[in-house]
Amino acid sequence: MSTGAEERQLVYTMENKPIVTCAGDSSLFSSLQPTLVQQLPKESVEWRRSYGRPPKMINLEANFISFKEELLPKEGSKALLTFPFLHIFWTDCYDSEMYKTSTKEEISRWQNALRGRGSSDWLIVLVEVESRRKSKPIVLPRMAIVDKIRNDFCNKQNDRVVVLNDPLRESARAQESWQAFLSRLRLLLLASFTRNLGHFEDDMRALRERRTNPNWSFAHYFMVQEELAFVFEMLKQYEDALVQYDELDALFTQYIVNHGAGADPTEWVSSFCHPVCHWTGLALWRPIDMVRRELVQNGCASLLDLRSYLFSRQCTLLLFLQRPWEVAQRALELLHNSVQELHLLEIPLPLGAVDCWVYISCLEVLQRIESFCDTNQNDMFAVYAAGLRAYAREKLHGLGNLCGLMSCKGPTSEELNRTVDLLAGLSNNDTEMVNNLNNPSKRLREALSSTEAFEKHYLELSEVAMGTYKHIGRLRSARLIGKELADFHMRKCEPRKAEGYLLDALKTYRAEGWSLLVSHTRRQLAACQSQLGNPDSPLTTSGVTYRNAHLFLRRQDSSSSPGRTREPVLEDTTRTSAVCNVLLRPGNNTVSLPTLVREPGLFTLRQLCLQIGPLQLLSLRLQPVPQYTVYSQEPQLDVISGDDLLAGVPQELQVQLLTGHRALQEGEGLHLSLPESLLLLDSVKIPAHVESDSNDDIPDIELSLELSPRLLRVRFPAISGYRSVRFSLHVLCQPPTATPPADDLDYHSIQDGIELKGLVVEHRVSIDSPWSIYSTLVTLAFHVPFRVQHTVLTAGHRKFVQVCVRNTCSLHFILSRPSLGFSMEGEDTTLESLNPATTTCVCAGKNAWFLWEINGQVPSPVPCCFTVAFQLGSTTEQKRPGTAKGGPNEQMSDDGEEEKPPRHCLFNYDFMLVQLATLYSVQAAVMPPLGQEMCQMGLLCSLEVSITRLCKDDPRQEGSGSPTSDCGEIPGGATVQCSQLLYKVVDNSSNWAVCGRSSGLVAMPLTERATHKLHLEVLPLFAGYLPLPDVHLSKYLSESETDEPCGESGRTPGVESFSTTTPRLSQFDPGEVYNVSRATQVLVLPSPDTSLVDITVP
Amino acid sequence: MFNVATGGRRRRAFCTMAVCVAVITKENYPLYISNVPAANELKFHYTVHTSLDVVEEKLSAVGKTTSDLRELYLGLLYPTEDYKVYPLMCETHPPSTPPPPPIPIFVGDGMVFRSCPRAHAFESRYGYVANTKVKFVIVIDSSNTSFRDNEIRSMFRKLHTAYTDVMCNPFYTPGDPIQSKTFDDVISSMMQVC
Repeated sequence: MSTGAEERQLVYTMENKPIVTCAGDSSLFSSLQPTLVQQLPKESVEWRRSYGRPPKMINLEANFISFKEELLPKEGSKALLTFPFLHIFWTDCYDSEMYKTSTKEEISRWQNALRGRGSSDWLIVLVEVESRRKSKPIVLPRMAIVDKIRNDFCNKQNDRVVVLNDPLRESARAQESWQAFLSRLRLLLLASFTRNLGHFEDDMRALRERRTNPNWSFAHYFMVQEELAFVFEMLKQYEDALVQYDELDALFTQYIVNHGAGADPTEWVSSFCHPVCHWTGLALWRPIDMVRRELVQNGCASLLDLRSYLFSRQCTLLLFLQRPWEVAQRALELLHNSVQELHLLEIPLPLGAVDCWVYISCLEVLQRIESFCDTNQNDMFAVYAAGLRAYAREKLHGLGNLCGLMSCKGPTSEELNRTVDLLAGLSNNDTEMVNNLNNPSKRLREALSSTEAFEKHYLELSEVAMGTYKHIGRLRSARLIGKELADFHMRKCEPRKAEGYLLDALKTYRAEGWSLLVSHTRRQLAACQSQLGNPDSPLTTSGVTYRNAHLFLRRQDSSSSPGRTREPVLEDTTRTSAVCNVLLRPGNNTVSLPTLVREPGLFTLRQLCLQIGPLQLLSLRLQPVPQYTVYSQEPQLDVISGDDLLAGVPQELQVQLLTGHRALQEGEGLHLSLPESLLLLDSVKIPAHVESDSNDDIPDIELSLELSPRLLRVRFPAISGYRSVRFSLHVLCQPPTATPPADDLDYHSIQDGIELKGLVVEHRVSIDSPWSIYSTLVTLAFHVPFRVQHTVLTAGHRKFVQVCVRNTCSLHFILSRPSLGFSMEGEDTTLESLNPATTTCVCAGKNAWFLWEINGQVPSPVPCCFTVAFQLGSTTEQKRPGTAKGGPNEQMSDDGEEEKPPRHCLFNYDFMLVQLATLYSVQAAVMPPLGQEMCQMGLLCSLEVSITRLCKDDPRQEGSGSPTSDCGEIPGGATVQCSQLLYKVVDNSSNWAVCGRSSGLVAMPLTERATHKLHLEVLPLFAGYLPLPDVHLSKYLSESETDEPCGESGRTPGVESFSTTTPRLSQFDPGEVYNVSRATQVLVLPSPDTSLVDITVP
Repeated sequence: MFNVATGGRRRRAFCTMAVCVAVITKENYPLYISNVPAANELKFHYTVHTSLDVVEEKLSAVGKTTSDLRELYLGLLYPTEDYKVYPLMCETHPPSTPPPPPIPIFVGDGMVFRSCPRAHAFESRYGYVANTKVKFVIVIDSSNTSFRDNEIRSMFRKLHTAYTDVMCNPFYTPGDPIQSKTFDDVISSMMQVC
């Protein structure tokens, strides 16, 4: 081990890093050092350990210092911290002449020095600088120098030479060689650690095995093992470092125990038996307590010094490992154990010295951990903190006793002497420590200085300890501290302060039935109360001293289960209710107990207490539990609308007002702001129903309404508190104008009977009330009872508009006066109604249809408006069998309506009417085969299809670019305007097999009544009435038309050939093609059974 | 200079196995407390009572982590400078196992229990100390460093058996303080000077 001063400096900073020496070209190295120091720890390497310890990832750092022979360890030295783990030789020699003359010489001198001290961890770094080589005209082969070095020095150890290329340049090559060098350096460092630490550990174990030798020195062994701990700490392997101290701790503890048992009298242990003169406690705020370490090293440490030093090191490492609560846990064990060891070794100590040591240590540990983390946040820590605080308090209590600081008379002269002795052991030369304001040792000195200071410290600490115990739920421990506090106050002649603590403790002991503790506490309480000047004699127990014991009320949520109650105990209550001077008569007596409650809650009657003169009778807890609830309610307003408000139908809104604690004055009322489309149907006076909780009969009242536009005032007569007022308002919501749904699917789903949810109109009503500055917003959702769809139907030339009204709610409606209007100026197009002039009843979930024929042409989409009046069907009508069963279109005469003038509401539906002229009609017919009268299964029939153009070329279609026209060439040479159509015969239901060309192109001349006939053969696959196969038509657009959709007639065919786009198909819009034979069926006979049955007779 | 307060305060010659043994009910009142020296009775009552804080803490922690209390021995839980306090808890049967058949307590002098292996009596998982949640607390002098964990366990086993015998007595009303000479003898054997 190196000399004390030098080592002390090293240990003290703890900024140590493993030492690596550098020899050779020092200027070369210093140019590279910053990069090296920075890059080395960047990557972690796996450190494989001996003795089966798990491998660890470690980030290496190193302290590079220049090589001196004095740095090499001397013979037999055990120092590890100053041990150079690796030696590096730096050279940038590029010239073999230079190498021969100087460099080789230098390296071999360096190697000899290393070999002389048995150091085998070395590395030679050859730095190559590109520019320098180029400047030399004669360039040796690059590897030559490296090879020479290898030959000369690296006997079979080729990994001991590294070439570093252009390290100061930013190039990929330089990077690569840096990385290779760094990884080599890390590996060599680790190998050196493993080997050297391994040796060290072996030596250390051997030293430990010799511990039975009479001249074995614990102090020496301590330093050796600590050296290992320091190295682990230096390598940031705190866990391993901690293990070293724990081993030392265990070894020492075992020796003390053996010594105490008298089993193993060891000489060195008796060195710890010397009297202790300092009891300044643990000092944890420095990573290494050098003063104490020196004492341990020189073998003059006392037991407390050694324990303090050991624990301070363990604490430092545990904090590095982020385990502060383990510090607290270990601290409590350490203190208990150390006190035992002091007794075991029979170490002479002045009275109270141990108490000082423990007190300071507890506070030091708490302070250290609190500086590290917030202890209040951590319940895990609170358990240990509570223990430490209670322990410190206990010790301070003992010190107060010893030094006479707890009596109201003050200390005697003997006690003062004792205090002086104790203070002597607390003297501290450490200036840093003295300057620390919160230094526990300083606080203790202060506390011992005067009765007042002691009281302040003691009460403060007791409060904190009690609070922590209560926080973690250790009530019994808290009560015990409370009793000691009571004791303290009694000694200080302050019985008033003591009484509360004693009462609390007594309550706990009584509730749990610890009779000895109860009587002990009662005696103390009696003494306390006699000092208080209580008129009762001190002989009576505390039960009598409750002067105001009566009937007790207690909030249930604050109750704690007292467990098994075996004797009546006056319970702790928050409220009492009492009557005085009650005259009891023979027989049952009813006594009313008035109480004024100012907070809501559930109140339970716990206990009856009857006092007659000085006699007090207590009941057990009352069973069954009588209780009452006290509540306070804010005024509350509810609008009960139900889920299915309907638009267009008078609806009832129920308004409920709970007045709560606020009574309503005459004339006060509600202000309702109504949206425009919400009509109020009520007259000026409406009745209201009033209820109360107590089921009293309260007559109904009348409310007056004042309606100004969009504002309704409801005025109330005077209403007392806690009443429920209920009244109804009748409103009518105008249904909004409907529009077609976004997608076409809806129309079909309506017809398919799928339940669709209707539209919802939301109205917001804001209600202002006199008790709140805030408005109550009520959202009313009105369902629109209908959904409407329209469609344009085609029959040849004729076009019809059909409107379908679906009743989406569960009520029945009567529809009347359907009308369809559209605005077109200058055209003589009219709509002819095909609807009967009666009303129509539409049942829940059913549809009603209305039909108009369009006479004339509608050239472009025009806005159209459908209007129908509706009213609710009466119940009698709904029950009529005709209506119930008659389907959606049941028609009724006007006479059947009710006597009361019905309230009609109009329902509007706006849509765009698009009418397309019918361009083609398709007619198909199936002919039986020749010679047959009927079609027959399995026989080919002919399908005749005729496609007829119904109108001339429609200017609208030309103008809008509808690509139907084309120039076709008719055989014969004349060019007629044609449009090409693609026909397709399909049978989706597989009734027919279509033979021959099922699809093809047809050129239709653009003249009216132009007809094209097709002949196909179809084979019926089944017998019976079969629907005809479908004939689909679509527009066939040749290349030019697809290229340029505005197809112009008269284009020459030659232009088309230049077009490169492919032809495509375009569908006709609905209504442009009219299928005449749609839904026609043809009868197919079954095929005659002509098969033969062969019967073989044996 | 020194007022020597020697280690003589610690009676090395007067070293007992246990200094205090207590049996405490589910409701936390004592059924039995015995201690040596008898003069320190009050102090031990306070110590045992305070230790209930820690017993309850440990039990709630056990309840949280494992469903069945396999190990009733709660370990050293309440070390003080002077004493080490060890508690034991008699748990009812764990929720996962079916309740034991009702035990005919009046069958006779511990007949029912003899059929159970003694080793199980300590772990008491079948609740033949029916539904009691009774706690045992043993206090050891801290200066007695030679104690091993298994010695404490065997003391508890002995205590539990003795308690079971008390419960078997048909003249004993459960919940009453234990007044039995046999039980006293067992306890005093545990507090013998060793």
